[in-house]
Amino acid sequence: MSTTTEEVRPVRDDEDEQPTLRHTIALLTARDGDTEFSWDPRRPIEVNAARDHFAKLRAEGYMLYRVEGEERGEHIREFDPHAQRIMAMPQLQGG
Amino acid sequence: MPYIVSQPGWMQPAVSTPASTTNIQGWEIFLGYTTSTTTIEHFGVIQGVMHETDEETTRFAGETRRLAEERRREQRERYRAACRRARETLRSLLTEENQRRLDAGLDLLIIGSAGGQYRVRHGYQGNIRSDGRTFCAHPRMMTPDGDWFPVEDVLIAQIFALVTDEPAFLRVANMS
Repeated sequence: MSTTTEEVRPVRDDEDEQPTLRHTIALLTARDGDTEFSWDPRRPIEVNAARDHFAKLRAEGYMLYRVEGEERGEHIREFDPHAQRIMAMPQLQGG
Repeated sequence: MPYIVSQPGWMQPAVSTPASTTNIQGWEIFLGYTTSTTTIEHFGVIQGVMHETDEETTRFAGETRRLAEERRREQRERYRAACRRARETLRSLLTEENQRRLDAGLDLLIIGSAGGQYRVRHGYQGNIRSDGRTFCAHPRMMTPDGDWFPVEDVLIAQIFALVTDEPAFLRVANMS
């Protein structure tokens, strides 16, 4: 797995004048409705936190999709820090 | 004074979301569990309380009913809020045509990753049709503490399964 610093241009935490980029992992939950975890792909600390969150969701059995437009997406198994929007949802079972 | 019977090893006294009910013997049973964002870590009967007088029993029964109603009201409010968010999320993922159909209460028309054409009805199960067949595949719909997934979240999971890996959806789904 490549490191965060190779994937993104790091931004120091004190570079507050930079416009914020918010990429999100949306988690569908019954109890709280949809909850979001967001990160700025230029901030390695946030990217690492998002990567950990992604791994935790995968370990819990969630399906994670990178949203690629209207009714389009891709099932992903590795965290992509550049994905604008990731959706995490429970796996389907036959009814 | 009531006395408490505990089942060792089930739970710690500090529970994050207590609920209670009364069993057939008139014992007040407390259910306890701790929750993280997505998982129920423990669930079980942790202790019962038996009262020494009818007055205590009546008072506790009234309090139990009040707590139960309060919990049901909280669940309803939480579910409504979750549904509002889920509907916004679903809309944001649909084409304009399907947004219009959603608003009109019509079936959503989804093209699977392998080219199959599906009608997805607003529903939890058995709500997907294609070529005269009905498919039933859905995520778990209720948590152990009785919270239902918003139906729109179920639709999102079904639609993503169809548009990203239609063959896998067909392997999982029951067909009739």
